[in-house]
Amino acid sequence: MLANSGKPISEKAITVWRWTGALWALVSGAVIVGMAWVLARFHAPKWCLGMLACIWLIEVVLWVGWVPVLRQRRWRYAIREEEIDIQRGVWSTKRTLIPMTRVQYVDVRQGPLLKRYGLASIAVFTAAAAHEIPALPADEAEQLCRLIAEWAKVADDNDA
Amino acid sequence: MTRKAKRRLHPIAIMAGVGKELKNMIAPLLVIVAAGSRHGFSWNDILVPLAALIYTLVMGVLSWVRFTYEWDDSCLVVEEGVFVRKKRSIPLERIHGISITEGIWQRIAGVVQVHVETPGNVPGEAEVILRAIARKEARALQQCVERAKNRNGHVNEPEAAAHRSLSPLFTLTMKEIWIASLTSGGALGVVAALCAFLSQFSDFIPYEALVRDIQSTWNGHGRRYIALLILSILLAAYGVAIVQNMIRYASFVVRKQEDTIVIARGWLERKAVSVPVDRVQGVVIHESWLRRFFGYASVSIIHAGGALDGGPSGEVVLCPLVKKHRIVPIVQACLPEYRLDVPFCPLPQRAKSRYMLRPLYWLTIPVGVAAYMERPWGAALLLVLPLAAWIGARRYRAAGWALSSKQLSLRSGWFRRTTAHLFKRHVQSLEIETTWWQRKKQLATISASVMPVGTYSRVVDVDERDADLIYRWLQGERSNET
Repeated sequence: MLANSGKPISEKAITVWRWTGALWALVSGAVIVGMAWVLARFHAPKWCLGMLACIWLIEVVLWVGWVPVLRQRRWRYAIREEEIDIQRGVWSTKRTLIPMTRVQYVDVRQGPLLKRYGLASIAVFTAAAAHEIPALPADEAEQLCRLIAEWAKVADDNDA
Repeated sequence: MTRKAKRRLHPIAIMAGVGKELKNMIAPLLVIVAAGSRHGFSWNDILVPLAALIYTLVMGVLSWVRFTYEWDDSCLVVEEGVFVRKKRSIPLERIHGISITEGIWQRIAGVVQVHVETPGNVPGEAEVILRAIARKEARALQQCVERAKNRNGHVNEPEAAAHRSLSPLFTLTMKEIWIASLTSGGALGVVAALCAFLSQFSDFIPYEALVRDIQSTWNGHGRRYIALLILSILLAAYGVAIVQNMIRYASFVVRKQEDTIVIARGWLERKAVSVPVDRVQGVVIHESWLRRFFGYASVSIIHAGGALDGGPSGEVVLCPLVKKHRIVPIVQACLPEYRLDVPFCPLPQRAKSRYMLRPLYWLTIPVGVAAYMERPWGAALLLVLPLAAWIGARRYRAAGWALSSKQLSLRSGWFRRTTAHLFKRHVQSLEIETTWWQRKKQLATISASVMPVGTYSRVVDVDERDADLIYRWLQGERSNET
């Protein structure tokens, strides 16, 4: 197994993810209430409604209580001169390697929730896909973005 | 070459353009006319289509008048747009590829259509179509592009030009065209197109009544007829697909001109796709189950530009059908850097059970329910399960990987075994994924992505240590030391 190297992301990420989880729970709650209403109109048995409520409760517990913590704990990133190494995932662990030479450009992104907690995300674009490192302290994200851009340029010069 | 004056396309471009527009319009227009004339015919019903027709014609002429192009040593400049003028200049060395098509209209006038693939992220924006220019001009443009690329320090060996081979590297015989068309699964595409076409008419074909009819026939004694009907529709679609493919693959020729691979094909519509060797991102070999049985395979190259070939974006067919033993010499001649005859490492034994179980995860419940519903005879459906497990075992046997200092090769699939050969310098990112179950068995999924967005190949359940090895292979030298 590859060594578990790299830095963790900000712990405030848990709070941010809890909020997004809660928002999603509201949305899916509305959907589930709608479904329950339709079922009730068609005189569905009581246990159907109970099951729906259970599903919603489990979802809330998972997405507000449990998953954000695990996700923050699993997240690791390492930015080295020659590559970016990202590790993440709750159910399945994903490890992504992006050679610095392949980096096309870097974005710093900040939504309203991230901004509220002084965080920002970095998105690294290659010609094939975008890779995101979420919820870093805003100034660190800014710095890293500049660093990656710098290294990507150096790596490119060496490659040519 | 000095800058030419602004030039217009050959007037046949109007017909070609209008014809294409009309082809897109015909189904909705038919719907309008048919829907309108349901309650008797009146001239008002023709009004809308007539207006559309006149509008298309006028716009066709106007956009031809407003479309000009020119190029010099460094730039291709295209101006277009009827109301909003758009001027685009494309540096020649940035052009990804050029494909030349001779449609029916173009053939009448003895001109060609040139499709220029340019850098850009938005599909459709990233291309310029010169709808009708003289063949000589098209060749001149091609040469200009090549020269511009060479000047900018791209791969350029003088010897390559000296012994350039213009003799075809690969052609298809009539028999091979026939087999290729028979075994390529285009029938589903035809059925999908037919469904899309029919759905345009849903306004006035009483589908609901039709379904009800079918249901009552089904419940009566009409099952045989419905089965026959479906079978004949499928057969017809298959026939159409065969004809389509035969037209597509007729007189298929691959040539190599210096550092460009030129693939020409087509019967009613001649098409020549040229792909610069240094834009090739990888070689993919597809072996469908049926073709493998006859010892055939098909070879595609992954190309950084868009869909030059009209197929899925990023893949250009190099050989639609080829005997397996010929693949290596052909690819070697086109892309001398790639090594295809690498020894593949199999997956570890403990992955086999996972491969066999995986199709069962999602098959068991639906098959079980179906078998229960149609009780006496439906039980035969249960035979699907061991069959799925068997296919899983074949998939396990087929999967593998190979690694050399420069090249990563990944192979997977059984119905359609896909072998991708990727160069280290083209791999954009590498991902190793382990689910909880995989971790227990020390297995991992590796996937490598190359340039056109969304192009990746992956192998499930590689030994964890092998996955690490591949991961380290892509890492820089400095991090290998630590």
